Amino acid sequence: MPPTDAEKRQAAREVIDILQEIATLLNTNLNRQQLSYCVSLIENGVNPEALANVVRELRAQYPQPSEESEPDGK
Amino acid sequence: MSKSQEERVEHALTQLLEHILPSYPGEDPAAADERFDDAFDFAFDSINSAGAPLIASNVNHVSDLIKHKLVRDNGSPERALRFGNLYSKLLSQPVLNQKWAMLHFLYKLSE
Repeated sequence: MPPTDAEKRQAAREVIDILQEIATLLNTNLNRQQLSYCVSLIENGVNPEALANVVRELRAQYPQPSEESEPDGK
Repeated sequence: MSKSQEERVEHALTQLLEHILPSYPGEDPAAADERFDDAFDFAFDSINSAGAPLIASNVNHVSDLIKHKLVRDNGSPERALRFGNLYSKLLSQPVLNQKWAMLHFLYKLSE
């Protein structure tokens, strides 16, 4: 019998739980929502290395307001 | 990449950017829109021009890379052991197809 929609959603949540814990162990600073969109991108064929570079580049180009206001050389 | 896949990628990328790009207090809305468009163009071009991953997708290899990194970065095996447990659980999950790519992505982002 094929899995029901509810079972699929439960399985998807479990995968995100696992990936989120791995992302935390690796200090990637991805929150659950950001991680979910990255999973969707990679499941749809996006190159993982390119996506990692994009996330890093965007974080560098567009720092969070709090990070931006830190005085230099601290 | 099929048409529907491309649409899913564009949608997910838009959502990801909305959750990564900060909003700056007092910023002019038109400037914020332009900033978003620039970021989207950069991201979309980057992932489109990247093509397929260059290295062979070996899920056990990337798992070993992560374990070694966790031991090296933390100086103790606890996190690596925790990862090993999570990795076994992940392998048994049917809904995630791109297991190697997801682990490779997290490993690359952690560098």
